[in-house]
Amino acid sequence: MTTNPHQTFIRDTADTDVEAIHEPIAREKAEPRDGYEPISIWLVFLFLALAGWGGWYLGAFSGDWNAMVYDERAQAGAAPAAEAKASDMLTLGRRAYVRCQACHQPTGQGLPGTYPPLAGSPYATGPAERAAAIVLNGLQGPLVIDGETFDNIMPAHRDLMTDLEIAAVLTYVRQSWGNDAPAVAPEDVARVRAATAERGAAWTAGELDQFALPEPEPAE
Amino acid sequence: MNRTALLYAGIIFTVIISSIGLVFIPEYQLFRLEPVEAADGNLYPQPRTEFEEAGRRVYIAMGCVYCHSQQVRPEHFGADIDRGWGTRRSVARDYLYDQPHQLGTMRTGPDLVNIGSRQSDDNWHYQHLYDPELTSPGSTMPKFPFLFEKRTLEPGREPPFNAIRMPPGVLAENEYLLPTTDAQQLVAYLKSMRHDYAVPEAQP
Amino acid sequence: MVLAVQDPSEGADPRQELRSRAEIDRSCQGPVTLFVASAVAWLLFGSLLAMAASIKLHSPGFLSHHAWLTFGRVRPAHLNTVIYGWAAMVGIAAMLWLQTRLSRVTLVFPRLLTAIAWLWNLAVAAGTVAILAGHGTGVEWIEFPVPVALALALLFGAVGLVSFYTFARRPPGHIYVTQWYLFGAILWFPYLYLMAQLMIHLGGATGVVQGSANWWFAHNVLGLFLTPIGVGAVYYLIPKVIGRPIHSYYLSLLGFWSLALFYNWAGTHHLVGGPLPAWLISVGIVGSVMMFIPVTAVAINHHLTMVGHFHMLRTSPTLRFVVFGGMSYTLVSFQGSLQALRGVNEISHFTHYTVAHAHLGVYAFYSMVMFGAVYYMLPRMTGREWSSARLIRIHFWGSALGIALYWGGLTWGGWLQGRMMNDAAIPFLDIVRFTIPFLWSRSFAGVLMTIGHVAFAVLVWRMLAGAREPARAPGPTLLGRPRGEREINPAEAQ
Ligand code: HEC
Ligand code: HEC
Repeated sequence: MTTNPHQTFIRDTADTDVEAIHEPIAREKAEPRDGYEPISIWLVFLFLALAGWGGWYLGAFSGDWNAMVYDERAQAGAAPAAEAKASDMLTLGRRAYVRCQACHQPTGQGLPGTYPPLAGSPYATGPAERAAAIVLNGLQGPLVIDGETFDNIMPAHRDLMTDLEIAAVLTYVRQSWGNDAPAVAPEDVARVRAATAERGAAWTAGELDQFALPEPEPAE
Repeated sequence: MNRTALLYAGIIFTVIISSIGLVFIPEYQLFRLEPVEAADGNLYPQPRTEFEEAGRRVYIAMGCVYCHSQQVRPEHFGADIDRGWGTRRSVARDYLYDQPHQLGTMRTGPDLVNIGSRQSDDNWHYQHLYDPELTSPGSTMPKFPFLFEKRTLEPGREPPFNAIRMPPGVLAENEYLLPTTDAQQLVAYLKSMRHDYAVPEAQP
Repeated sequence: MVLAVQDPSEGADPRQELRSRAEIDRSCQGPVTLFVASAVAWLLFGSLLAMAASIKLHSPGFLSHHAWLTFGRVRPAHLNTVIYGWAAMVGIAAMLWLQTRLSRVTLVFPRLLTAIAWLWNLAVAAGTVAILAGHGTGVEWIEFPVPVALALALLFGAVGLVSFYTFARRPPGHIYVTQWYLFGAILWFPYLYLMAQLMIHLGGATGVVQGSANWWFAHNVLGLFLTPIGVGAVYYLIPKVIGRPIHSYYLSLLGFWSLALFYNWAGTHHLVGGPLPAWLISVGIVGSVMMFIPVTAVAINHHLTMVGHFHMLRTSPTLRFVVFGGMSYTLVSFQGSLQALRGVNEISHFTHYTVAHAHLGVYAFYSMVMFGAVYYMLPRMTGREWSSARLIRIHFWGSALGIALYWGGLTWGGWLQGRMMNDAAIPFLDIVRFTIPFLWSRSFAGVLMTIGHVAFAVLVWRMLAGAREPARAPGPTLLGRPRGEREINPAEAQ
């Protein structure tokens, strides 16, 4: 292949030219080679120890290689470690408050002109049933709190929250940010839920001012 | 090392074995998963409607995954449940209909896998997407103004029923805002995200 | 056509050896410099996207009015341009050149490779535009639409074949450790990429298994594609520049095979706490921790090779970048092994800590090594010297200080962010506000790194365009005067 330019380059140029054009190559050191120092025995021990650890870890935390086991601490035979489920109303309430805080804000202060505050609000701290009714069915229309007027819509939470969650979140709201009102029990919420089951619409401030639960049907 | 064939074989072997271990075996273990029947007689998770699925594509196209994860870690691990991002850990069954997955690895914003059970208000979502600082002062979430259409009101006319309620002062007196189809689909998707049914493998 | 030369250690004629090297470097000139130049262009573009994404995180109003420039698109566009544009292209360049050098034969099919380089550029450009237009797939590290991904896999396969063919024509003899790593990269990447497409985008896997496939792939892009090229280059360049054999062949063996064995399995540590069966996560954690073995082996091997020659870091640009990269490799891997542990991951997961870690790997290790490699390769292929030692210094310090600040700021900030997130009493928006100063420090670090990249690009541009001749400088461009010498000693090459 005489037409190959590289070939010609090699054949036709004197060594000095090669060096001149590829001066950087001329000054470099030989291609790398291997040395043959032995591996330290300590390193080998270290690696074996690591491998041992790996084996132990897989044995201990692999849930029997069962795809339905998600808790790495669960092993065959041993009952899965029971979680300490939060049971007090304030903790449950703080967790459930995540459903309110996007609007009423983590501080309970709301946002001026849009979302009313829960801190210091008579609706939050007033009768428990009325507060539960707001959460269950929502609220709309003009509303005055602390001299500021709001005219917005709060959505219903009837299908989103259980009685326990609503009771907990109201308890949390009624006892945070300087609010100090009695706790709400799930039974209270259940009663309101039953009594307002037929009502689809959100409340208005006017209705709430005369809020009273319908008398429970007298038992047979 | 001079045995080229051994070198090649070793290289290929190691990677194939790992794909079997991390991809094929899990697939074999999980591909038969089915929805569970809940107390209300429905099967969960429920497949998304076409409208919600379209919203999921908007979610992907806007890159929400780079700031929001979609997974709740268990009670003993992190504070996901304590923050109210879910009432139980997420499990494989919850993702039966996800294609492609959007599990996410970043929480610049909160986890969203249960956003549907904590924020059901379309109007809030629209305000938030239009300008997150309207609902969440100090938020670093981007604005998505291009998901909305700003219109001018003819004098003496009322805005249409589907105009977004905005805090006072954001729009001019004679303007109103409408969500585009993309925005409506996106919000429908967000509202569909709920892992609040019980599954046997995530019992405490 | 293919020139084969004997191993110099077997007493070949030194002139003959010189000639063959010149011949080899010449044969690489066209395609390899094209790959390098393209890579540098992508690096600049990727830096631009990086700056935009970084600024958006602390000042969300920045460029927020167009869907094309929303954070959720700019960020993946950044990742994909720097990985598939910069890192992959410079990696291919290094791979081709190292393969010819170590096989002692000229590069075959240069025109094919040139065409591949252009097509590769086209594919990355198309993929990036697709992401910005909203057609990204939304799966991290595999955002390019499927056709683009398939094209890239195919092109890479072709590069691999050329590399094999080059290798197959070598005179019989020892296969140097760098070559093992190169074969690793060549064989691993196409399998990874195709399998990821198949399992995630083409319906192979359901639900969370896609997550597992996603991170099996994404972690291995670093571990089985970039890392082998980077480590392989270090194995070549350190002994080459200092003129000393690699400390121990046995450590090389151990390092390579334990990497091949364990790195594969580390991926699911990206999903700790997630909705995957416990065993799958545990396997990922063990794989990650076992990475202590290859990393320690390689670190010891490199360190003991370098011992006694650290003074050369003052003068040799190549060595400075490469040793910085090699040390970062040790650091990032140890950090990664620890980060996989459940107790650590509980805090670091989902935070900027992880982002810092990723950059320590791809930038402080891989990119720095590749910078060093380019400083070594290009003068040999073009016959020109670097036009300015000062620009090299600006590049080094911009990049080194930049990445140090980047990593320091986000590691610290991310760790605190994680601790705060795990305390439900702290409102989420307080955490958002808390991270902002750290995000500013990242933007500032980004500016430093970008300055370095611009200096680098100017140097490469001048060398390739010959803008500032001299075709033949009097000697190598060094960063300082070698110890105990008044004149620059040509033996202390770049
Ligand atoms: C989508 C936003 C939104 C969510 C979520 C929300 N609210 Fe409201 N809330 C409002 C709006 C708006 C009003 C005022 C309605 C009006 O203007 O008539 C309101 C009013 C109230 C009121 C009466 C006024 C006041 O400030 O005391 C109470 C009590 C209340 N909400 C409690 C809650 C609780 C408890 C939750 C969580 C379970 C909650 N809200 C969730 C938007 C919301
Ligand atoms: C740059 C990161 C970023 C991106 C991208 C992003 N978000 Fe957010 N997101 C946040 C932050 C920070 C918050 C918390 C503050 C707030 O409520 O705005 C948040 C909050 C939210 C919330 C409220 C969560 C809650 O618990 O109340 C929703 C819903 C949401 N984002 C949806 C989206 C959607 C949909 C997208 C994509 C179109 C998106 N986000 C993209 C950062 C981001």
